[in-house]
Amino acid sequence: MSELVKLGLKEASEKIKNKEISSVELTSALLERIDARNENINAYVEVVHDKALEMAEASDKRIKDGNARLMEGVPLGIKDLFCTAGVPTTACSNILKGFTPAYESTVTKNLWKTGAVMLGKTNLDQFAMGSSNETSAFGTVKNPWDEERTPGGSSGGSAAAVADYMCLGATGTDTGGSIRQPAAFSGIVGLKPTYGRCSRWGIVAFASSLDQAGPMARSVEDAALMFRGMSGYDPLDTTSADMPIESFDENLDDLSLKGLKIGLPKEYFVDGMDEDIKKVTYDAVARFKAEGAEIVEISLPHTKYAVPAYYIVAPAEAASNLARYDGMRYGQRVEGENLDDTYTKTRTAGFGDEVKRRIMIGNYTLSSGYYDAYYSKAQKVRALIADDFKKAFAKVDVILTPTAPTPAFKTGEKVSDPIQMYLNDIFTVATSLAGLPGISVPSGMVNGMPVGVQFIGKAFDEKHLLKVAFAHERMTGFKPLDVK
Amino acid sequence: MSIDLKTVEKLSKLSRLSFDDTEKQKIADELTKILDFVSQLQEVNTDGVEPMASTVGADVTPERDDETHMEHEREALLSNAPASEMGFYVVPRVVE
Repeated sequence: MSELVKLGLKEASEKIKNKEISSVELTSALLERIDARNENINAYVEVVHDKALEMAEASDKRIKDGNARLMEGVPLGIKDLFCTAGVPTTACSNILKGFTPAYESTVTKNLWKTGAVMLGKTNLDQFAMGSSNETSAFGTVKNPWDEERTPGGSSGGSAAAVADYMCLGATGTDTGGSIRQPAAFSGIVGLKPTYGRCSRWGIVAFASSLDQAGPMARSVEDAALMFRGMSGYDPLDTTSADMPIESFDENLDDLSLKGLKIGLPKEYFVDGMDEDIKKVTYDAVARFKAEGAEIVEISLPHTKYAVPAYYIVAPAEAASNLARYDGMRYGQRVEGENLDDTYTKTRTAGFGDEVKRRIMIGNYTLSSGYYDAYYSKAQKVRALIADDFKKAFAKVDVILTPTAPTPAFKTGEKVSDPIQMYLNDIFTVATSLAGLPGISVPSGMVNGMPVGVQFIGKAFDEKHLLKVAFAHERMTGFKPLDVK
Repeated sequence: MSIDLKTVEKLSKLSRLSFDDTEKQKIADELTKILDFVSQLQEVNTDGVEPMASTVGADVTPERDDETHMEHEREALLSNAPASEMGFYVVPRVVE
């Protein structure tokens, strides 16, 4: 294995700019690593060798000509939920097998404009519905730290590819925790930005009021640089926020922890929680305290209701969004006796079990007679959850919680019980419902598996959030996966 | 709230999905469990609370000019269709 694959994203970007290494060298090293490892780990569902090398060559030419851009020549993995022009995009569902978009998602377009190079498309839970990558039509992904365990989901392929040095960074999407939970399970950094920061245009829709793209990388600085490259206002997305793109990756070390107010929500530290997770989280608290941060106990009283509210709102939006898969304009079609029969046969053959389950739930809670009791009620509870955060942020600068209730579990352990799987999102969904930014950063090891903590910030305050996460990373001294 | 097979059939029709009898029973059981779980929301007092549909306000999401853009090539889009002819999608007969 070439040692080049272990370079950090920002570090590699600087080395390429200084002509210490070329993008072609780095890209080739990563493609070799993918060819050696992917058959076993299954992190990528499509590897674009030729395209990657073409993009790398173009980057090297720009470097030679003195026209380097922000992430010139840096190779990335792209979650297979982002439409990529000329490269198959499936959402890891059979219904989209054979679909090759004619257009590029705004987020990936932004990344290519900064000079980044695409290595391929990464595995995910089908339509991003799942917390273990087990609902993918392309099979499960192995966690590189322990191959019997899941890397988490839905961005499981991205997390495993980053952790196993098959890319320097990867895009993820997060609807209820799909960036943060796999980042925690795989010992990497994952940022879910404020809703509206990254355009949703060209991302296969799951739950539109919650879906948000973000970076996954091996360090806070790397995630910050990638976030800078992918975010920004987009007139093609009506919920895109017109906020300036900041130099998120610069001056990350200039935050004084003296007097920084860190909130610990008491509802996130309850009886019966995993003792190891509790210890790792409190260890992080102690390190901040030792450097002068002020720890404030806060209350987010509606926390308990976040998972149930989420599992009404998200399936309802999914049921509506997935109505478009009718076998007429793209994807698979199974001919039936008439139009309705064709729709039904197409959808029945194309969607996996978890997707069908969520469509059925969504159509139930949206149907007449139940709308007020379920969907409207859940939206009201959502407002109360957002209000809890608003009140808390009047008292503190940032909130610290565990990212996931346990370390990575074994593949197959929870797949037969939907509710147990849904409870994996217990520490991440509230942030999603409130539209706030959350970042998971490695915080320690439990029985050989990495564990992350989550920092939650104020809306559009990612710069500050990243500085806090950077300080945490420095104090923790977490060692990424050791490979030879 | 218990979901019976009749409700499963109604929902599967609305969803344009079909299930065999074993699957129907399994879905009825799973939906019952999930709805029991989400029903804890009923204990929350939401009197006078406005439902929240979106977390971004109009203050940060400007309206764009109402102009027509040609973003895509017709042929490129049609190339993904299961069936197309003369620049159109071919679909099953819609009006009986």
